[in-house]
Amino acid sequence: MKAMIQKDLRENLKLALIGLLIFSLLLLQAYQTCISTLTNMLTGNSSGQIGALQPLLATGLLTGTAFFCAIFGTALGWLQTRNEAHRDLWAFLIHRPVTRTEIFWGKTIAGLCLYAFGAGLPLAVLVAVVRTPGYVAAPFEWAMVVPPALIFFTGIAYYFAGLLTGLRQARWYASRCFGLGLAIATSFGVVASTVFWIPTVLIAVAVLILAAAAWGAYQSGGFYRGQPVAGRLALTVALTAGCGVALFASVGLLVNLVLGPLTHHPYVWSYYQMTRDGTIYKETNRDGNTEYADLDGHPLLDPKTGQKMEPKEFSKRIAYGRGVLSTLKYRNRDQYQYSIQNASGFFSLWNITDKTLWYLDRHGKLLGYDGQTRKFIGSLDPHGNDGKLASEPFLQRADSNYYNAYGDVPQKIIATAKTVYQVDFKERTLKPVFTLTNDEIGGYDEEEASYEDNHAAKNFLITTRKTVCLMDYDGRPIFALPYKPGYFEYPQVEISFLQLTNSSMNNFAVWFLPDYLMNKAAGWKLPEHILWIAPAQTVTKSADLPVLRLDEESSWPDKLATALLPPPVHVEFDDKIYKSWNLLSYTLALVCSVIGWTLARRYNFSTTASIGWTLFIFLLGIAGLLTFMCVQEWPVREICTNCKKFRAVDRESCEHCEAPFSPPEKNGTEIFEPLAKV
Amino acid sequence: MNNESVIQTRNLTKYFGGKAAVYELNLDVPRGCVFAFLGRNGSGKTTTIRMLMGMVPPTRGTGTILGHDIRALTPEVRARIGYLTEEHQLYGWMNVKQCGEFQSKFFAKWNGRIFRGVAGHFGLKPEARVKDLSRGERAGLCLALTLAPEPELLMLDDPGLGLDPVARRGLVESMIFLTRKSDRTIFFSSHHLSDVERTADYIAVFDRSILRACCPLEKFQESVQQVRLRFPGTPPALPKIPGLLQAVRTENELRVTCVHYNGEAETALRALSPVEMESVPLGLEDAFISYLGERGEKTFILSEMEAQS
Repeated sequence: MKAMIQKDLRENLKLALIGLLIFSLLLLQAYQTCISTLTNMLTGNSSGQIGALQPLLATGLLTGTAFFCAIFGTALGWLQTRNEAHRDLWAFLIHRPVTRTEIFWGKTIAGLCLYAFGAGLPLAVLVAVVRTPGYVAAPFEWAMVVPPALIFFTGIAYYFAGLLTGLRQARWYASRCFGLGLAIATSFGVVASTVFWIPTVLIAVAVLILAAAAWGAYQSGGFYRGQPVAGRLALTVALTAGCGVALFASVGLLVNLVLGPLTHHPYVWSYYQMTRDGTIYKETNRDGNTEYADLDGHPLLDPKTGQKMEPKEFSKRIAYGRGVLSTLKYRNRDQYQYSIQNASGFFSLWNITDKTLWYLDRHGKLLGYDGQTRKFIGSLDPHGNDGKLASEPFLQRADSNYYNAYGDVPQKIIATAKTVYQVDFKERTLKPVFTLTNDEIGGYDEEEASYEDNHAAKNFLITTRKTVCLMDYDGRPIFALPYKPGYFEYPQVEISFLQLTNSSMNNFAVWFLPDYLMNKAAGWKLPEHILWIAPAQTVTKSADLPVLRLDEESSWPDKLATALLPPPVHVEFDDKIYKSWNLLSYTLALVCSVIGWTLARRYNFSTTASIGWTLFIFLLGIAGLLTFMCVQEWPVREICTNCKKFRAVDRESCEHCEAPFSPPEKNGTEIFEPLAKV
Repeated sequence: MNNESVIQTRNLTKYFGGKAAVYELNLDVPRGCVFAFLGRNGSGKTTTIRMLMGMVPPTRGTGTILGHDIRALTPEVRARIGYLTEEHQLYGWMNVKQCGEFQSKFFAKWNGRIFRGVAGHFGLKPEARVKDLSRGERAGLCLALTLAPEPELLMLDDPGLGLDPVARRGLVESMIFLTRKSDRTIFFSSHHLSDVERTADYIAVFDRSILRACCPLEKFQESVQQVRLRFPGTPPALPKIPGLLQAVRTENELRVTCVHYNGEAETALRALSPVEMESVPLGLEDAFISYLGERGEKTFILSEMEAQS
């Protein structure tokens, strides 16, 4: 095996070097982007995703890494087998006194080493650079390596898919590259997952299946027949994923590019808006057209023109607002929710003052980094900036994934579970504004300040377990309300700042918005609860409005697309599938399984195999039938000279009459003589 | 099973799509012989060898090589078989020495002297890269790699393919004189009948996927005979001759080539009343071409050719 490893290392080193070079350049470019983002933010010229400050979390780097690892892994695996796919070179490789398993492992070990060299080494160097002080002005922790590491390991699935593709004895337009489907599906799973263990398990399972399928292909020279059971099973699973991906892509293209333009289905979206006088209107967007109506459904007219209200005019009347999401429900959970798409799980950029970047990390620590030296300068906590890490965790605010250099209110306050502090980043001090004794802060945010006010916010909103409170920066409550309904069902509270008019004596409205999932579980029966508050802190009015949801009615091409989903998906996600289309799905699955059964019987599968494949096809529908047809090798059929029925040529005798195949017809020129040992 | 057979097949068949590349092949190759496998291009020789070596699965039928099922050849069995493929493919980036070192690491029995000897016979320098070798040199290197493990069965798929006559002669000489031992079997396919004539004990002839002949070389040559008949004028129409391969009619001559020429055929020919009738000895090449060439009667009589045209 050692000789095989050495041979393959030497043979494919060039490709690994090319990969190393390309990936290094890609990572270097991502690092440069990070530095230029930092520079722009320091000069106040740029807004941007906070993740861009930490290369390991930068969307561009992760996307580039995902594409590179997929392409590099596939190319490496494919070329490793394709180079030797010429039948004579393949024979030279295979015909030696070692098992094919040893040959497979020899090549695989070499391939994985080269993959680690081409893709892993640049990543390791990047990690080393990032965690070295003076290179990146953003927090680092080892968990940040997880997203790129998972992408790297996904590339191994692509590597085995490449090996399989290079070996499979199938036509290119049919199913030769369908092994890649499982790797592609794994990539989507890794990107979409929000819990760390899911992508880990996905990658492990995909690598295991594709490695077993590639190993099986080595045993039989790429044919399905002749493989061990494990290889055949793995190949079937891999091709099922491939067929699923191919079907999904085909249907998606068909629906979006062909059927979609032929059918018009309006997109309707409604929500409530409050004007400064405290009146609620329903705003409806339909195909890009916006309409306003009062709660009785009467269209809102512009008093100046008498025509329907235009969005531009209406926007002048909307009350400024601010929302707070109570995090109490999740307080005891690990704040780090794995997601490749969201860097804010690790930290948020809190403030930039005097070339110093202040981050609030997921552990609740306010960390300072010098923007010029890119070094950690210490943390800020209630006891001052002592250069040590703070002991009392600060609470995150919602929506902290994006830093807006132009529009955001300079953040003056920060809170722990018990205390709200006013922060002076210039002096690096914290001053307690408000402290709770028998309660706990759920969420907080500052007032949306208008341009007229020169971005000078005056108030902040705070929710605790028991109360909703608007305060000024000296800690004096402007109003305080009981948090009722409670934060568990209604975690989100929004405040609208109203104007006192002759007709309205309210200066605030407070919205209690229900939790989406809980409302869904309750059958959308939890209403939006609104309170109007007068200057004397008295509630003058309340209302319960039904929750407005997106119009989920889809066009018939969308329904047709869902009908192609296999029946188990319909059972599992029954509420998302259009019931009237379920029947079509089951019918399609039934038709496919009948075709599968017929094929199985025609080609003399055993009864057990026929039933097994038929069930498989019924469960997976069209994808199952495609898999069945891709996986199996279909021998030609000839007419039996004895019973005149079609018989498969791969059987020793006719399946109908048990007659053997007729010997070659004699033409009188045969020359045969028994051969004796020389 | 015949214990003396190193290769045995029963109804071995291979289909590619709807076409049978090898059909119902029954073959027994005795130990210690040089066995030539002949046939036109696409007749199924390479497919048979690849099936025997476990490189492609048969569609149906069975086969054994050195007593082992061809569908499951173990590393131990492979170590006893030397296999030379027809296009002499090797890793282009390796040099001659690296090829030898690479191959030697897999074989418990590796005779470096043989490797060096055969490589030297072909004038191969150890540092020469495979991609820079001529076709003949590459064939020589492949042969050296095949022979060095001292296999007891040599499977050579058209070893002289694409080589010039000198290189081919060198290869064949090496193959025969370096490898011939009493217990070693050589199974080779070839289009070069002069090589076959010089080396083979037995031949098998494939015709369009079907084995038509399998016998000692001499038997084949004896079985295919040509008779020349002279006539005072245009030769008469040919009656039905058993085993007829070809008949060529010229202005006053008729050449008849047939298999198993016997009394019945002789009687039928004599009934044509030729003025002269003689048997013409055929070399292997002529016999082979007649055997696998176009069957039936050909006319080279000008008047008849004009009438036909």
